[in-house]
Amino acid sequence: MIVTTFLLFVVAACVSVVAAALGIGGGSLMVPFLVLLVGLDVKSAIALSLFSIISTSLSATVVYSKKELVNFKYGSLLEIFSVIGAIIGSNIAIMVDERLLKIAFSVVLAYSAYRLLRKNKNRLLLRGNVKRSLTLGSLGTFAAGSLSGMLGIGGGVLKVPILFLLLGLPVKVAIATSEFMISLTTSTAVLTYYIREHVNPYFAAATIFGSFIGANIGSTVAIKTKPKTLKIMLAILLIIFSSMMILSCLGAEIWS
Amino acid sequence: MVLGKSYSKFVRTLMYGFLFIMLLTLAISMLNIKAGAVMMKFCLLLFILIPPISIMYLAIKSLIRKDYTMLICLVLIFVVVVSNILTNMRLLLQYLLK
Repeated sequence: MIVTTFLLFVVAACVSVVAAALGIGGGSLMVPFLVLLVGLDVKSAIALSLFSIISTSLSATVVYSKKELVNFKYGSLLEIFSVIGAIIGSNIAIMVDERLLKIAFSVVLAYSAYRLLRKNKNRLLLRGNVKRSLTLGSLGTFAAGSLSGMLGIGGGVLKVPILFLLLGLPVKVAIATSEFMISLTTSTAVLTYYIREHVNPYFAAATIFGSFIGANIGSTVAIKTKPKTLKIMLAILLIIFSSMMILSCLGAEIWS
Repeated sequence: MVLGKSYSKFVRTLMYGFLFIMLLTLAISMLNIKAGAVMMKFCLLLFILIPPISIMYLAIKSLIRKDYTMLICLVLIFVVVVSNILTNMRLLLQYLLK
């Protein structure tokens, strides 16, 4: 019990450094770690991952908003769709073929990575086209929220590209706003796991403490890092996730 | 743009308050495991409620600043989150009082 608690603390701290720096929740890194390294069952891993995501995103939001990097207006506008998506997501998961969703998700991630790595004009926002960008952004965040409810992830891998590529926010502001949005989506999703007793309270406490420390380090690092470096790191992360999704569709047990 | 700083201060206070209560609960758990476990359940619920509370704070702030677009969005988010909690209230009470 003590060894597992300590392991959870370390894993949560390490994952949160990366997650807070890149504006993601970190669930897609955390769940495989908890299942493969700590040996937890998938439902407990998802539940603990969601607690870690809340801690990471809240701690990161504190650091980012202190530097006035969070765009609350776009964040709150798009978050409505994300929260609704998180609630509906679990119900859709029963009806839609999970493989189809994963393929669509990996295509979107790969395309986002391609747009991020392009040298010039890597934003989709056009003059006078803000309405269209907001509509597309709303649909995208709805999908991110649904995936959050279905797979136990924060959805930042979709939210950051939406805010950066579609709405034209600077990469640091996109990362900060994504963290603000993630905390809300995840607190909605975690309740389901909490009341169904998938959470060991002591494990959750260790995860929360670990993430709190990790996220503070990660967000401070991100503020000091050059936007170009962040863009490249984000693109690499998107390519990794996209490959993981495709591999899991082909039968590899990555995503459980 | 002062909104970010005051929001940061508010959430940081909530986070540190929560971490203090959790440390206190861990200390109690060492003395009495059963009481500690019950307290820990409440602690986690408190933690889940931090984001909705912070939204409420933002809503009040945007009302003061007369930013009605943001206020409507925040109220909508708050309503969705709270209705999700209320829908699961029976199970939540069952879990907490067990």
